[in-house]
Parts: sequence; C-alpha cells; structure tokens
Amino acid sequence: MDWFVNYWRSPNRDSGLNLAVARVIVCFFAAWKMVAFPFSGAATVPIFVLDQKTLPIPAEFLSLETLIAWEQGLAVVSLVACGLRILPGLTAFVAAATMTHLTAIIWPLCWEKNFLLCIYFLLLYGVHRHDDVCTWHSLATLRVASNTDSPGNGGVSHAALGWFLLALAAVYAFAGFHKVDEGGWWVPWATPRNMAFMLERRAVCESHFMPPWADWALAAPFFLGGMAWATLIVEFGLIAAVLAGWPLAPLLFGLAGMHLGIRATMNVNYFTDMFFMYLVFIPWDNLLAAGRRIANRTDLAANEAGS
Amino acid sequence: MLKLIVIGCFWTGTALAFIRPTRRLRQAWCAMFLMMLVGSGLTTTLIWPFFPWNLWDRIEPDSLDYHELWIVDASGVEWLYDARAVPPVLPTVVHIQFGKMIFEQSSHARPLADWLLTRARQLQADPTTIRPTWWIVNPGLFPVGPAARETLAGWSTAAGAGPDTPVELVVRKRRAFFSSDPSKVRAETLEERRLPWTGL
Repeated sequence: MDWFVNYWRSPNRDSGLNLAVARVIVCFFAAWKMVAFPFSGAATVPIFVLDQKTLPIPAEFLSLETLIAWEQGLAVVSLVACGLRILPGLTAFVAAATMTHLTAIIWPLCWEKNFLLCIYFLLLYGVHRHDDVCTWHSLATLRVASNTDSPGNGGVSHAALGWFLLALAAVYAFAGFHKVDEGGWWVPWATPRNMAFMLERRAVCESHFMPPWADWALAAPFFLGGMAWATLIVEFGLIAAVLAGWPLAPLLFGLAGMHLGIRATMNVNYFTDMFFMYLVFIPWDNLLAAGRRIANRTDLAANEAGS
Repeated sequence: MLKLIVIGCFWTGTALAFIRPTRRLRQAWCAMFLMMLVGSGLTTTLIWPFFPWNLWDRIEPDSLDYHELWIVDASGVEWLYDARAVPPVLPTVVHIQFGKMIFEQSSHARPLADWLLTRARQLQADPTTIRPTWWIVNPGLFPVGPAARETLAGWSTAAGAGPDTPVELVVRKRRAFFSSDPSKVRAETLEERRLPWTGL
C-alpha cells in the first residue's frame, strides 16, 4: 500500500471519505491560520508603502482597519462552515475570495504566499463539491476493503484532489525550474558554494542570525551539495511521479525533509503549511478499513476465547 | 489594466462554475485554472490567486548591498529594529525594503521613519502588547561563523531586555562580502542616514 494516493492517476475511490477528510483538514487548518494572522496590522502601515506595489484594492479600504477585521472574520466563518459542509458552494467561494483579497493586501508587507494552496483547494473543492457524498451513515456502512493495495475503481470521484495534487506538483516544479533557470541552467545553482551563499545571505542580510544548523552545514560542503541536488530531485520528481503514477511517498517525505532543512538552516517555516497539504493525500479510507479489520479480529478472538 | 481584466475573467468564470457546476463547465474551469497557474508562473506575473513562484534571486557575486534599520534609545544605545513592532511586516521587508525607501525616496523617508519610531515607542511603552524581545546587536560584528556565534550567545532576547525610549532611527546601507570560508564573511557600512523622532 502506498502511503499517499495519486488522485490524478486514480481519481475514484470506494467511498467519499477521503474528500470529506481533506475538506475538514484544509478548512480547519486555514481557519486556524486566518485567526492567527495579524491582517489588521496592514491598516496601520503608511499607505504609500503599499502604493509602491500594484495592489488590486482601493487605498481607502486600508484606512478602515475594522473592514479588514470583518473580512478576516468572514473568511474564518466561511472556512468553518465549509469544513462542516454547510452550503459548501457558497462558503468555499466566499472563503477563497476573501483569503485571496487579504493575501493581496498583505503581500507587499510579508510576501505571505502560503494561503494560496488552501485557496486552490477551496476553488477545486467548490467546483467539485457534488462529489463530496460522505455522510455519517455512509461512513458507518463503509465497506471494509479486502485488498488495501488495490483500491477499488468504485463510484466516488475525487477529481478535486487529483487537480489539487497536480497544482501542488506544478508549484514545486516551478520552484525547481526557477532555481535551475536563475542559477544559469542547472549546475551553478546546485553547488555547495551557492548553498553556502544562500545561507550566508539569509543570515547576514535578512534574519541577522545564523542558526546553529546552518553553522554546521557551512562546514560540510559535501552535505550542502547533496542537499542542493536532493532539492532539485524532489521538486522536479513530484510532477513526474504524479503524471507517471510512481509512488508519491519518497517525494513527499523528501519535500517535508527539505522544508525541515530550510527551517533549521534558514529559519523560514514552510513546513507547517505544507505538512497539512500532504495529509490530504493519505488514504484515510484504507486506514479506516485496516482499523476495522483489527477491531473485527480482536472481537473474533474475544468471542472464541469466551466460547 | 490587462491584468485586472484577466483577474476579473477568472473570478467571473469561477463564480459561473460554482453556480452551475455541470460536467462541461467543470472541465472548462479546471483547464482555465491550470492555464492560469502555469501561465502566471511562465510569464512571472502576479495574477491573484496565482503566483509566479520565482522563489530565488539570481546567483549573486561575492558581495551584496542591502539596508538595515537601527534605533537609538535615550541612553545612546543602538538596537537593531525588531519587526515585531510592526506586524505583519516581515523583518526582511522592514530592513531591506523600508531601508531602501528611506534612502531613495526623500518625500516618504520622514513619515516612514516617524511611523517606525512611533511603533517602536509604543512597543517600548507597553511591552505587554507584543512580546518585548529585542536583539541587542553589536554593529561591529555579524552573527556568522563559529566565533561570531559565540558572541551571539551573549545577546539577550529575554523579556525586559529592550531599548530605553527610542529617539532616533538610523538607516545604514551596507555591503556584505561572502566567502566559502564562513569565518571570512563580513559586512561594512557604506552610508548611513539618521532621522531623529519628531514627535508624531
């Protein structure tokens, strides 16, 4: 059994459980992130700072701090409602639109782009919301798969997750492409010297702090070179795996490792955001079936012992 | 203008696909979604909610110019500006972008400096609103390399370790020199501009 499902290659599942779990994970994670983020601080920034950028909002909006707070609240309420599948079409659209607008407002101030994957999920989910057929009743009667290595080709489409997986892989491919392109095509980027330069630049010019792990890595050029190549392999590898149907687990674990490395050596946390996106592709239906089999076996053993 | 039209078309199409998610409309919308995702990346155009994803700058030469913001408190001690005084602005934006603006845009330099100093004074006056964790940085050193890291260990981020009333903003244009030997990494100040607080 693969640890993650390639919905792009096999969009159909026996039940709608995985899409429902994905909806709950993304909506509640996004709601938590929206609550925690200080959007209203943008209203206190001098407006000419924002006018430097092409901002698709009227400047007057930013003078009304409460409007930003209301919009933030609307996004959170919509996300929670969508997570609970209350008017999923309306709530997914409102959540995606408000999150996009708020991201555009704060973009010149903090380059925060980690809301975008949640927005993509909401848009794809909203358009395919009629596939979300999982109910408590259907969950209770969910068939226990006899062979978890071959999920059925049954009737519930997970096309939303297929498109979301493709979007995620495309985003990583772009990240890899830009590294190769901007390194002067391939080799100049993936060198220990360039890795060291990025760590040093981050520490000296941006964070004013050299994390201990970066200090250690700078003294190990072979490690830096290996990490550079591993980064390119996992970023390009994911889209290849998605399209070719290769196992996703090595790539997704590799990408998680890459983000942990960035967190440790550059003090930039992409890991939390991406971790929740990877959870979406776990075969929750197979896990539930396996849990039920274990429970059945335990009951059987208890009955046999009793008789 | 063209960008706004593209954004408008995307969201209008999205609204239609949400209102009437027929099979054909769904397929058309997904094709548009993918086209926008790939198109914004390839053309490096920011078309909300699609992002160009050009995450890295070009590989730089061995030196790089950048800006830093410092505040001087009433006791004359210099502190590196802590971006937690101006959430949600990123530290990189505070130092590099705001620093550059103050250097290069004379009409905006004064109001921006006053705003940054006012926020720093608010934080200093009421540290309970934002955690009062200021980095005490010696401008002569950089926290790079093992030797410098030992120096860093003595710098406090503990509560209460913050500046006295900020009275002046100092913007420094600096040049960093990088090296394959981390102990040789250094930076020097090229120019500086001092803006005292004017009582905004």
